[in-house]
Amino acid sequence: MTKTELTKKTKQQLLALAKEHGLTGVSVLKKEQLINRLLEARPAEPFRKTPPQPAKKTEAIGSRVSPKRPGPGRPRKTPVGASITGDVQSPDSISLDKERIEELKFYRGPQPFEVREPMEIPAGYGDNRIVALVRDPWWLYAYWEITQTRYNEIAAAIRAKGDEVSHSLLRIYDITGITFDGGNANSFFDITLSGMANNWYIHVGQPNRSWVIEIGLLSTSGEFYCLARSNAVATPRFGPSDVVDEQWLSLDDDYWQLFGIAGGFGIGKTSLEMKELFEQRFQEEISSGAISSLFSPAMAQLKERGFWLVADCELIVYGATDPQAKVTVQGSPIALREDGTFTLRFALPDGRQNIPIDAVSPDEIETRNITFVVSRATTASNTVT
Amino acid sequence: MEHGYLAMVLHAHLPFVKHPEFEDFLEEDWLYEAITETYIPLIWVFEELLAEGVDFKVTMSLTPTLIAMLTDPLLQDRYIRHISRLIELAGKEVDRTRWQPEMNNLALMYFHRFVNARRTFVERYNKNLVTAFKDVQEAGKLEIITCCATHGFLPLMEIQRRASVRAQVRVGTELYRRHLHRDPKGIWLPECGYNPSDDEVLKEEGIRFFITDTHGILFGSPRPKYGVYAPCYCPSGVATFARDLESSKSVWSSKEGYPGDYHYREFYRDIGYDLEYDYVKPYINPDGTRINTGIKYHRITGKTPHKELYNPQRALEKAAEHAGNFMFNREQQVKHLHGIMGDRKPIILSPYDAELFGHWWFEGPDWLKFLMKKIHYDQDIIKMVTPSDYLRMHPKNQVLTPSFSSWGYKGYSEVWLEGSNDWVYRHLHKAVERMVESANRHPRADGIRRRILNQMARELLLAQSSDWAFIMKTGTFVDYAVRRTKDHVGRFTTLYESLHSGLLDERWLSEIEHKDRIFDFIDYRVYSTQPEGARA
Repeated sequence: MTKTELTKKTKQQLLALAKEHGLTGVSVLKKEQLINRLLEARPAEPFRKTPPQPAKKTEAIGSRVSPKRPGPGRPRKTPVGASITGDVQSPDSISLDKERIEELKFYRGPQPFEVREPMEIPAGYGDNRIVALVRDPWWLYAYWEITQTRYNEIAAAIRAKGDEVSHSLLRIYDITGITFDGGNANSFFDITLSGMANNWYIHVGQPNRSWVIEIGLLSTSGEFYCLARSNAVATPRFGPSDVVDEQWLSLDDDYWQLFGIAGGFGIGKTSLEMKELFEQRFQEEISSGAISSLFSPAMAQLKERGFWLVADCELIVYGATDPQAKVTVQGSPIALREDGTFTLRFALPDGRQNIPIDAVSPDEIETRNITFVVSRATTASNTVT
Repeated sequence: MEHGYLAMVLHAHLPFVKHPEFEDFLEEDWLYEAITETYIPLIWVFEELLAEGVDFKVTMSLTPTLIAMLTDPLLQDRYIRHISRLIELAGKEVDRTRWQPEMNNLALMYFHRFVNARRTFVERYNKNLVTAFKDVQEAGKLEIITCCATHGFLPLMEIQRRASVRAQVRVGTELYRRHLHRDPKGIWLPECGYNPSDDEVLKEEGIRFFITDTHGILFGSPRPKYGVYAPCYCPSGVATFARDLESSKSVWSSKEGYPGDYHYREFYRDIGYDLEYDYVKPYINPDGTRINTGIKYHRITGKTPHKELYNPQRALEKAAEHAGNFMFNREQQVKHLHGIMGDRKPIILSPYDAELFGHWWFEGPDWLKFLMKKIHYDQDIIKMVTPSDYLRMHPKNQVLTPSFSSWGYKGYSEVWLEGSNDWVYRHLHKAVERMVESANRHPRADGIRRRILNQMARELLLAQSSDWAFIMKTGTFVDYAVRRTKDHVGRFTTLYESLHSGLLDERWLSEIEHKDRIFDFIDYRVYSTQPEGARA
C-alpha cells in the first residue's frame, strides 16, 4: 500500500489498520503521523517501504518524502546485525512507540533550518566486535556488534558438544599487570545481557586497573563461549600516586598542602577528606559545561517561575506631509520616507508626554503643527485565589 | 622581585558552522555573537593595553575551526550583514527609548559598541580578526596556541588512536602555521582531554606543551613534588601545565564567581524576547522564532524575576573591584606557595573559555583589562607569563605520566559519553578505521580518487567535533548536532563506498566539497599507518 492510498483512508480506517499490524500508542497521532507510522511499520506488513539502504542515497535527492526517522539523538537500543539472544523481534517497532510519543509532545512544527532529512547512517557494519571506552575511574562503556552468522556459528559449536545456549553476557576481565591470553586474568565478573542491548555501562568500581571485555554466550552447563573480545583499557587512578621520585622527593605534609590549595579547599584536611572534596569539586560548574550559553535558549529562566504576566505599552506616532518638508517631533528632526510618510515608535513610561509635531514647507514659508498629549498610569496586582 | 607567576589562558573555540546553501542560518549566529561580544572586545582590551604600554601576558588558543571561520570570506561578509542589522536595531532603540533617559543611555551604548565593532572588523582588520590576534602575538604580549583540528575529544578515540590523534593534531598545527606564520609551541587539548601516551603524538608534531586539568598532574605518577604549581614533563618530553582550581573557581563558579554579581549585566533578558513581536521580527530568526539580539538592558539584580536597569558605570567599578580581589588572592596564594615550595617559584595557570568573557560575562573583558593594569602598576609579587616564558626560565622539571582527565563535569569522559550521545562512537570509530584502511590502500592517489580521500578526511574530522556530543547532552539545538553527526558520517560512508564501487556522482562530490569546505590543504595520508604514507 502506498502513501497515496493510505492518505485516502479515514483516520478510523487507518487506526484499524494500525491495530491489525500490532502498532500501539497510535491513537494520539494525527492522520499524517499515523500514515508515516504505518509506512514505517516492520517487515510483517505488506506495504513496507523500501528497506533502508545505509548511506547509499546521495544528498542530491534532497526532497525525499520518507517518513521521519525515529528520534534523532537517541542511542539505538536495538541490536545491529542480529540479536544475540536469537530474539526475532524486529528492532524498532514496539519498543520505540513510547519514545515516539514523547517526542511528539515536544514537536514544535517543522524544522526551521533545513527541509532535507539528515543523511542515513549505517545501522551496522557487519562486524563482530566489541569496543571498550573509559568513562571515569569507576565506569567503562562498551558497544558491540555481532553478526547472525557469528552467533549461529558459536551456537552450533555449543550444540555440537551436546550443550545448549543459555544466555548472552559480558565478561569483564581484570588484566592489570599481565598480558592477557584469554585465560590468565586476575579476576573477572559477568553481566547478563538483556536481548535488545548493544551497548552497556559497566561499573568496575576500581580505579587504576586494566580491563578487557568479552561478549559471549553462556551454555546451560556453564561454559563460556566468546563472540568477540574488546581492546584493553585502563581506568584512571583516582588520588595521588604511591610512586615517589627520589629526585623530586616531597614531604607528605607538603604534598597535601599543595593538594588542598590546588583543589581550592585549603589545608589541614586528611588525605581521605581531600579525595572526597576533590570528587565534589568535579561536580561544580567550574568548567566548560557551565558556559554553554552559546547553545542555550535565553528564556530558560523564565520557565522556572510558574505563572507570570508581563506587559508594556508603546506609542506609535505616524503621519504624512510633503516629502521635501522638514519635520521635527519634540524638537528633534526626523527622517521622512520617500512618499513623505513617517512612523515613530516610543516606549511610553508612566506620566505625561507632550508631543509636538512641527512641519516646515520645502520653501520654508508655511508651518504646520499637531501636538499630542499622552499620559500613562500603570497599576498592577497579584492575587491568588 | 616576583614570588611567582600567573598565566591567564583563554580558550577560544566554536565548531565549524557554515551553510552556504542557506541565506540565513541560525547556528551561524554563534560565531557572529562571539565576534561582537567576545573576540572584538578582547581585541579592544589588547589594543588599549598595548597603546598604554602595559606589560601584560596572555595565552590564547584559537581553535582551527574558529580560525577557519574567521578567515572565511562568506562568513566575514555575513558578519558584516549581521552587525549592520544590529546597528540598525540599536538605532531604532535609541529613538524608541527617548522618554526613558536611563534606557536611552544603554541603547546609545549598544549603538556605539556595534558601530565600533563594525569599524574594527571592516576598517582596522579588513574583515580578518585572526590578524588582530596575530599582531598582539607579534608584539610579544600574547601567545597563541593551537588546538586539535575540529576539537575532537581525544580520550574516546580508542580505535586507531595513533592515526586518529595524529590527524587531529597535525591538521590543527598546519592550519595554525598557515594563518599565524610560525610554529605553535603549545596546544589546548580539546576539553583538556588527556589520555596517557597521546603526548607522544604531540612530540612528533613538534608541540612543546599542553594544558591539563588539575588532576591530570595531581594524580600523575610519580607523585608531583610541586602539585600543579610547576609544569611536568611527560615521558615523551612534552610539558604539561595544570589548571589551578582556586583561581578558576572565582570566575567560573555560578555560586561564588564574580560574574554572578548583582550589578553585572543580566544575560537572560534580551530585547529579542522582551519587546513587541512585529518590532523585533526583522532581527530575530527568519522563521519567526525569538532569539537573543545582544541588546540587554538589565542587571542581574538578585534571585528574582524582577530586574533593575543596568548601570554600566557601576558595573565597571565592580569589575575593577573584582580584578583587585583576584590579584590580591593570587598574591596571597603565590606567597604561601613560595613558602612551601622553597627553591621554586610557583606558576598559577588559570584557563577559561574565551567566550565566557563578554558573551556570558559582559564585563569580563574589562575585568581582564583591569587585572592586567593592576598587575602591571600596583604590585611586584606576581609576574604574568605564558607557558613558553616559564619553560624558558625553568627548563628543568619533574618527569611524570599525567593521569587520564578532562575539565568536563566530573573530570573525565562522562559529558561526551552518556545516554544522549554514546551512539556516535561506533560510527566515529568505524570511520577512522575505514579512513586508515583507505589511506594505506591508496598511498599515491590522484585525480578524483584523491579528492574523495581528502573529503573523507574532512568529513571524518568534522564528525569528530566534541561539540556535537556536548550539545546532545545539554539538550538545546540537539537536532542540529545530530544532523551534523549523521551528515558527516553519512557523507563519509558514501565516499568510502564509492572508492570501492567506483561509482560516484561527481556533482555531489563537488557539492559537499563546497558545503564542508575546511582545511583546503588537507592530505588524506595523514591517516596512513604505513611508514611511507605517514611521512608524506
